[in-house]
Amino acid sequence: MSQRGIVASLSLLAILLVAGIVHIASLLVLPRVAPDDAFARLAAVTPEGSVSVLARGGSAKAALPGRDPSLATAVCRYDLDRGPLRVSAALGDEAFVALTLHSRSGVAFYGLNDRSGNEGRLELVVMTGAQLDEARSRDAADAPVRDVRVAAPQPQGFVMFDVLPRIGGEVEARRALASMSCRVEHAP
Amino acid sequence: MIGVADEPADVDGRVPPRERGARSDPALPGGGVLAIAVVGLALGLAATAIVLGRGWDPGAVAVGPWVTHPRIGTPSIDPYARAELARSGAVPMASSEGLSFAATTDDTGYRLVSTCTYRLSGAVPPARFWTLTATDRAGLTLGGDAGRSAFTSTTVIRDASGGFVIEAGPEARPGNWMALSGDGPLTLTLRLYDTPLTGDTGEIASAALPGITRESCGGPG
Repeated sequence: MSQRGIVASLSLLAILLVAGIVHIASLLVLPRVAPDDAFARLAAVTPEGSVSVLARGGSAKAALPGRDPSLATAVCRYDLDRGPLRVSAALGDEAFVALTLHSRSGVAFYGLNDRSGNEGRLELVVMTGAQLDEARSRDAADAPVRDVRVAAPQPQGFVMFDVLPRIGGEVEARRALASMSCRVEHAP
Repeated sequence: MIGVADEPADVDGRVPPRERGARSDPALPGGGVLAIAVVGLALGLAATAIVLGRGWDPGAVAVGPWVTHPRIGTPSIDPYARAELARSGAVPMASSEGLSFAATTDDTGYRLVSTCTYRLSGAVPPARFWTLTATDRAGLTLGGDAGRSAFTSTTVIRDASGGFVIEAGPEARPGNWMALSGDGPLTLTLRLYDTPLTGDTGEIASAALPGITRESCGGPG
């Protein structure tokens, strides 16, 4: 092979290497910099730290794309830098109910459905890793911990409460969504 | 053109060597290295844009015309699906909720179009509850506000053996009729709530899902 050919093929190899690195890097960076991710879309229509009922999926008013139109959804956007978040919702006789924790970009990192209800409620506490360590250090040795504690991968995210009502269940869905609460727990 | 190409359209952004004189050897330091960097950058970004634009995902599982992403609702979501979520702003069905299947073609591989009439028949994998929805590519429901663009496991009328036939098309049909409107691409989405299929790729690939056959096309014209 001539020197020219070697140089050309080495250049091509270098281009492919750079392209591969750029491709992987851009994939990994995108979730951190995307301007229109689920959190940003919710931020435009919901306040932080309180429950909002979302417009049904599939309509032009829907805040998030691609949601099931049969679902009634309430959402609570959180920032754990203000403190751990206690989320709670009552279970009725809906067809299906789920409480799901999502990080900023929409990744579901924890979820409960009505199978894991306790005394007619779904309840959990979302924390950062540091807050979880702190809470553990405060735990009394003799008192059992009753809370379901979940460590979030990022301080910002949102909780979704999805309700599938039975037939004709718009009223039922509203009532179920109204039972959701989320509040910041301040350290004692 | 020295500025970093942000858009994939600039694939042809070859940079002429800035130094004059240095001829005959194509890959001298300076101009050559810069050219390699810029072309590599453009190609890498173009690859990302194309892959995400087409919705390609290494974690996708196809069952006939139906495609699902078994890990999209879990923390072990793959980087492609994760980037796509961030770009689109979509929120996936969590694995604690269930599994979602989307079809954009019929059984023979032809694109689904909302002016045609399709027949969906067969079984749905075990789930406590399921919904079937007709939308356009952007996820907006077709069929207007009559509420006829979605079926659920409680609203569908079954035959004696427990199976069902749903006809999706622009013209009203007796039985389970799913109304379609518009004349663009059609996406059918089947969501299974509380299903034992979640998280088990092997089971999913052999799941029995409704067949989609085209009955007629052309609309009312």
